[in-house]
Amino acid sequence: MTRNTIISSKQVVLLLVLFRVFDLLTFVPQIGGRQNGATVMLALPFSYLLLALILVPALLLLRGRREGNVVDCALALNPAAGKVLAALLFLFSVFAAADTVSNFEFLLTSAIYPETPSLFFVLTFTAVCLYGAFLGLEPVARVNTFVFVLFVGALVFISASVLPKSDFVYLKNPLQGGLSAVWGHALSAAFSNFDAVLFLLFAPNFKGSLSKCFWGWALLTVAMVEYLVMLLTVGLGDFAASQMFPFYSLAAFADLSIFQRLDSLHITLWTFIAFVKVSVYLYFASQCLGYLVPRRLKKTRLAATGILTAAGALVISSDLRFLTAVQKAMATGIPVAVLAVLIPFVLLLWSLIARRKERAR
Amino acid sequence: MLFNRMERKLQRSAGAEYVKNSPPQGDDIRLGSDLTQNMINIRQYLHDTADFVNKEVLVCGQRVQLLTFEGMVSTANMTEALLEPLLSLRLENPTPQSLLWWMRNEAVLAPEQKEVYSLGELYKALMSGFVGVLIDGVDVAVIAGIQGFAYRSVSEPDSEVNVRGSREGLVEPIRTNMSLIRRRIKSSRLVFELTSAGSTSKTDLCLCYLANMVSPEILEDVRSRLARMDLDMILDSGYVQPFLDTNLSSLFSNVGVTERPDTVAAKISEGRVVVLVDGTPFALIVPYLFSENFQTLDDYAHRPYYASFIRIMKYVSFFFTILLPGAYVAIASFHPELFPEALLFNIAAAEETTPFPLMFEALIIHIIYEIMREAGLRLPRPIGHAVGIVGGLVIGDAAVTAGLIGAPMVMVVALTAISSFVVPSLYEPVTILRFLFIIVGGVSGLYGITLVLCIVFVNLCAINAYGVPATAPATPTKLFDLRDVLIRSSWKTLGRRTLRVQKLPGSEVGDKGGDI
Repeated sequence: MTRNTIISSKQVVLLLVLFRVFDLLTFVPQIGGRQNGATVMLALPFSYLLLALILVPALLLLRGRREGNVVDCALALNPAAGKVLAALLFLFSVFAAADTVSNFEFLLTSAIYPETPSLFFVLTFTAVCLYGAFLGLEPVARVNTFVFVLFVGALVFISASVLPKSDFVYLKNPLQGGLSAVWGHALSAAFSNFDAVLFLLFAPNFKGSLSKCFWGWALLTVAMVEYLVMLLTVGLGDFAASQMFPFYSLAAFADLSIFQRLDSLHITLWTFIAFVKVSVYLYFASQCLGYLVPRRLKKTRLAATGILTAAGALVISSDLRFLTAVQKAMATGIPVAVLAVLIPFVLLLWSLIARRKERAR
Repeated sequence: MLFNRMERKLQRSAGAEYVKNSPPQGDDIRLGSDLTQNMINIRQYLHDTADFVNKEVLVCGQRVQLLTFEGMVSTANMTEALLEPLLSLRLENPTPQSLLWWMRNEAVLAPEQKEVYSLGELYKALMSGFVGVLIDGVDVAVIAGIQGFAYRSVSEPDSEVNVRGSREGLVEPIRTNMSLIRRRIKSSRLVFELTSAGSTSKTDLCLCYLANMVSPEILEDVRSRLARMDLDMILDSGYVQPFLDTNLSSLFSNVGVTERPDTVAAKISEGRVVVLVDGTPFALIVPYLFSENFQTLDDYAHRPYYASFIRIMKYVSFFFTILLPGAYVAIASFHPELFPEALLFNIAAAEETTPFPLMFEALIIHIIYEIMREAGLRLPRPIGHAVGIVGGLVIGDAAVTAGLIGAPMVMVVALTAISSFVVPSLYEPVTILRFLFIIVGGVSGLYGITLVLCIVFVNLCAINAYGVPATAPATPTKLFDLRDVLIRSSWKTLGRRTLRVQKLPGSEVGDKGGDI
């Protein structure tokens, strides 16, 4: 593998936290029934504990080979298996990027620019993200630091306008639906967390302990998401359940002195986060494609990745049923279960057996 | 006649400069011991240029030629330091060698005195204001630095005005600039490394650095970039700057420019390399971080709370100047609901009567402003103030009264223009970005502006100036190093650890900074 771009583990944590926040800022899908905010808040820490458990094989696999990712581990065991895994991860990254672009386009055309065709947003946004991916992981990670600071500032601003008018009575009993509701949400959240796969892809790009980075990500994400969910719940109350884009609605209603309609702040922030997320996924998609085609064709790989992503996003956003189908597919947990749990587990066993045979010889 | 015609044809086909009875060409031609032949070669090589002055004198019976270019030396100093000692010299055994020996070991003709052995070295010295002394019978020339050419005296720099700082600015002669810096860093580790560039102009360049602070990798990189410069003429530091810039595709340069010797001294003390160019008062600083565009020496003269306030205001002004017109166009065209009601009615009333869409209005008015700004720069001073009057009339009054543009747009232009002068070093990218944001805002609203901001940010974050991220220490972040970025901490905090540019977070350069 060529020399990796190295970023700090803090940058990795901030990237993953904002990716999770992006999902919340976009919309809360109707999949699997609506949970009450308090149940979601209770389930979230358990989802990360569960995630830590299911990622153990992957972390053990990567701990012994910090300069490579799961594909490198697979290539070392069997070149064909490595290429298959690279192809799967490539498709996964393109799918995740296309999903993000389509979510982004969906909010823009539904709430802000209803007259503008989707093609305009998909093409322009994908092109800009391709530029970010072309420049590399390091610049995008640096932009993310600014975006995180901007996000925290905006959150403080919105909180200052919403909290005085909030009613904490909307924070209902988290066990209202029983333990099964909490457990069900935790399981669903853990297995639909695409960022777990991304975390494994990040492994060779930062120095330091994998587990420390994971726990930093988990803790900060839980804190952020808990706060956002609480804000949505107490700020909008039951009205949130009827909103397709609850956080956007919250920002639109927020006002602080002469500052009204903070939804423009939301658009700006959300565009930045979407840019970072899609750029990172495009970058990793291109890196995975590099295992299948000659590495020197960097621009060609990026172009191919961009075209596939744009095409995928156009298909998904062409009909709300496709968007819902994609969300359902993500909610099944199969991509994360296969790519972040099953395959690393198989590779770990395989490498242990191979090492034992080597020692026996 | 035929022969002459053939000769002329040969001259044209040669394509090079024509020299009758070609003298020895090339700067490596050694001086001979025959004074007459040396003089023939020199005159022919210089094409009998009118400003070349030579005077033959007899010193202890030996023929000596004094060579200089008119206006380059101080006549009074030359008489006192050179002519009088020479003409009053008495040697026991007057030979060319003994005269040379006396000049080498006993005479002090000038503080800078050395010997040259080739014509090229002699020409360069003469053209730098040295007096050349050729003795018949020796194949070496003695050069003495008795410069006396006219140059602008040290004065307050026009481009970087400070309230509390020094009033001295760099000047055109490189040696004077070196002395201005030396006076501020009285350290034995301060090194000036002279080199030259430009195949025709042979302009002197000077690399200035602190041997115990600079990174050897950065220094070597600068040296190799300067060595790769392939220009005929170097008349300004602007000619050299692109060769030092590591990221020409970016809007933002990672080479800093300053006219102040105190700023140069401050940058050198942080491990940077400064390049002085003879003939220009602007020094180049590498590597240069983005946050340094918002720092001035006045920040360190004020109290921290005020300096921090001014610093934050500069950042706000920067964003104002690039975003305000575009954001105004975007919001007024696509998101009018974002304006408070009263403001919205006023803007709508003002724009109702104007014939152009808001985007074109903004573009027209900003283009007019740029034309007037450029005209104001180039106009002679006595009539320069007329530009201000015309500008006020054309933009401020006549255009609004005629209904060509709305009054709110005039306010936007005024605020944008004033804000752009708060950070003058970023004027070039700011001007282009402003137009870009106006167009993008007019076409696609806040979405377009945000997307272009993404491109600008990632482009800026991709700049690695000699291995040091241009956005450091903001990102990659190191909290302690942020003590002089957005805010200016107290001297107690600033002095706790010396900043070394190669030790900034994300730096790919080794943090060595030992003596080299």
